[in-house]
Amino acid sequence: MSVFRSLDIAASGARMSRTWLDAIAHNIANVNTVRPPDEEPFRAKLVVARAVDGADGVGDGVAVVGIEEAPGDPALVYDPTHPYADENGFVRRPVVDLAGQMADLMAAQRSYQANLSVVRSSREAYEAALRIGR
Amino acid sequence: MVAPIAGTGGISGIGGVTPSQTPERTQPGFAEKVGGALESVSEAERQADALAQDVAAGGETSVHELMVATTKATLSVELLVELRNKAIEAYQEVMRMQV
Repeated sequence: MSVFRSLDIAASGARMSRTWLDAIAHNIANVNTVRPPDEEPFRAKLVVARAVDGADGVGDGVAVVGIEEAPGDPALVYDPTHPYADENGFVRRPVVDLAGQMADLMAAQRSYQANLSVVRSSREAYEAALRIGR
Repeated sequence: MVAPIAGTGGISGIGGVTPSQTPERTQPGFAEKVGGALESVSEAERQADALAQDVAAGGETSVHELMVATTKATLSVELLVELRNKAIEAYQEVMRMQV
């Protein structure tokens, strides 16, 4: 068992939140990305997190185990002059819920900060333990 | 009338003294432990250095990973310094002993 286990666990949470933030940034950046009718529309990337089981039952933090794509049908917008419009004049919009992404952005940012708070508390606890000897 | 005092039983002999034995040194001594601690502190610093290099070079490492690694290295060094202080304190205490 590592001496700095809580630091490692908090770092794993921060890493997951970082990946989540990156995915949200990608989704928001592509909120207007339109693809030709013969291609799949852009779908929001969803980060899949899984708890890591520890040997002693406490657990070893979190890990990103995969990236899923948002399900659902793309919105069809009638715009016959658009170069990517299909034969009926419809353009398929990307499958990104901007309001949902903004809410996720706040949650991911808070999650990142929360994990860094754990890092700080953990460091202060170690420093307090070191001060026992003084 | 005073009742007569019963005679005391004989004192049993003292058992033989077993010769003292120096225990076998199976566990590493203090010097080896300090050496091992130095090695692990050095390892933590080496890891933090590698991460700092990667962050500076624009690699995959994120800033919080670097900061966690440097925090670990700092705490390890502080622990080692505390150990050294305690060891030297104990040594000086022994040296001040009146003989």
